[in-house]
Amino acid sequence: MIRATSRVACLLSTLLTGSLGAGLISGCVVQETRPQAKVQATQAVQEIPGEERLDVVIHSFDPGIPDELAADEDALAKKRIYPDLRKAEARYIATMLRNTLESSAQWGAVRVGPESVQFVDLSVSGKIIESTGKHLAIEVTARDIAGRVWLQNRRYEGEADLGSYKTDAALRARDPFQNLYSMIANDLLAARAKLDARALRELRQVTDLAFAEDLAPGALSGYLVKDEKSKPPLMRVSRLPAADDPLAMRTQRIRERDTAVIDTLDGYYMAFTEQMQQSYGEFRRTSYEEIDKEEQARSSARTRTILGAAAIAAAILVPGSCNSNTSCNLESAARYAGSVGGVAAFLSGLKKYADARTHAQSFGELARSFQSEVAPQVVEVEGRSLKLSGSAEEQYREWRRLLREYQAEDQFPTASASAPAPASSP
Amino acid sequence: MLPRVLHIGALIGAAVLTGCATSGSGTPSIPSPTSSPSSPLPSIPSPTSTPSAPSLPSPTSTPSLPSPPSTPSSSDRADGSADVGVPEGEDARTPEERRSGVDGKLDASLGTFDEQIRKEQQRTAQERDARAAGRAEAGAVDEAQRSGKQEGRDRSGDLRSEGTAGSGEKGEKGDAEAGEQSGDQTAGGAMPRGGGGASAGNAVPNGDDDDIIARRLRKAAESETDPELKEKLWKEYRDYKENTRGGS
Repeated sequence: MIRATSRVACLLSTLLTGSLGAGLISGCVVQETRPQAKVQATQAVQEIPGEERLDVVIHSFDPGIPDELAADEDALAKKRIYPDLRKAEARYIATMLRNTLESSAQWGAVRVGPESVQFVDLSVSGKIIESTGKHLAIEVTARDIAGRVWLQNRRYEGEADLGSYKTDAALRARDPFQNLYSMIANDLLAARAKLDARALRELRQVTDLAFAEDLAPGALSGYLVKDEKSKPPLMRVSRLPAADDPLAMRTQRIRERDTAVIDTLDGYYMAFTEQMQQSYGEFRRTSYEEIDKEEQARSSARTRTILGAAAIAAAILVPGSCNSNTSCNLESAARYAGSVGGVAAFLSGLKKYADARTHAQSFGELARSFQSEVAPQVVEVEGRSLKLSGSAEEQYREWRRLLREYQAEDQFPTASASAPAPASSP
Repeated sequence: MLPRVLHIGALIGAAVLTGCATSGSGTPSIPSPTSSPSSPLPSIPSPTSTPSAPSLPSPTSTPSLPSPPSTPSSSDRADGSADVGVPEGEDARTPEERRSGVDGKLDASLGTFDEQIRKEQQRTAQERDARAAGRAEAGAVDEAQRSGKQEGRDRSGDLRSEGTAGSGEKGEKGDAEAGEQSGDQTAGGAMPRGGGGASAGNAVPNGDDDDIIARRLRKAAESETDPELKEKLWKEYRDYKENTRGGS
């Protein structure tokens, strides 16, 4: 008798837990997400000598659109990837990182530029793994001109800081994923700290010499050597051109123009980011809400359907063990209640799935709408960037030719060069 | 017959000896480097600077041409006759002069490029300024609309800081978080923004011809929220503009 009663109690508790649990848990999925602790990029406390201050170029990020899905819009949308939006984000994120590095006062000129910008002390590139208003995951690689890898596909990810979504002003003041950018800045700083002052100075020289060698390969090569002993092999300065080397002086003048080109390209990206910043911030905030609701609905749906199914299964499968009328009635009532509760929970779970789909659709609409707004801006910035890079490349060809001409003239024997100086041969 | 053959021979010889110069003058006596169209003049218009002669490697003594030593250099010939020692197609100028020519070309090219870049940068800066001003205007309109419609709205901090740089939130009660945010502006999240303008009594000069300092002053004034400081910044901007105009 005692055994039978305990079994009924067990059945009851299973069923009750099932049906009540479904109700309770579904009502308790509301998560309170507090604003995150803020990570700040370490600021320079003293001035870094000019010859050790490295210039940085952040290349526009890889949008991270999987090749196998590139043509399938629906499949991409399921992964919350909207190609034109990603292309805009690829530039936006690079600019945000640029601003973080620049404001830390730890570096020389920090600029955003296309892949074609090569001759710079430190190049940073990255790939977007996931980007929504709620979550951002990126991979970052940083390499210096000598060939050292500072960061290799290092992954940074995090949830949006809700504090930034709180007000419009807060959204303008701090990016919801600022913590990530600050972490990257601090990691770059940590990598830089491994190099001594001499290595930093050498890096600056390597950049200048690599540029000069590219412009006047015949005359200005040989100043750099590859140190095969180091791992990975590093480019090192073997000697320096004379301070009054005419070709070196001319390449230096061209280098100043190259810097101006990079500055102009950087201006394009900055303008682009400013243009999209406000609407992108709002899009992110709204998309955060939609994604959050979708995820809550999905989680709730999962819980309800599982518990509902469990309650139904328990009502049907738990073996009966009543040996008196009362206990049989009780057991039967419990089974009935359990199955009714289970079905209700299951149906409610299905409804939650439908809610989740609605939120997903809302997000999709939102993303598509923002994408159509930002796509022409991406085309414009890319067009201008390509035009300038192309025209600069054309110009460099012309300058290379002129330097070659100059070099050829330089090889003519001159009076002083061809004839041995009497004073030097006593 | 013989004089005619000699005449034709002389004509051909003259043409060959002038290095087939296509100057079109037809005169055989053009050894001067300035007449060769294959390389520009050393005095080619250079917008930036004169060719950097001091950086040339060799001294200014007469350089030896790659012609046989017995051949007199063009400078030795006062009669202006054809340079018989210079092979066909070769420039009669000294390497020094040719280097100057290349330098001239380089200078001209750099100057033209500088001008293009300057224009492009100016255009981008103007676009950014215009956009910032547009945002500031939109922000001000938005602010006015909100303040008219909503009092005690949940998102405290919106009203005052809308259309400003967010620094207006500092010290604002009831929104500690936003106040915290405004302190982070320099951490990279914030972009340069516009906001407001000078007081009505003091007309702000057109910013079209702003140089970099003027642009910075203008931007600082636009984004300043403290009216007193804002007015000071505008004054600074106006003074700067007047001074630069006076100076130029």
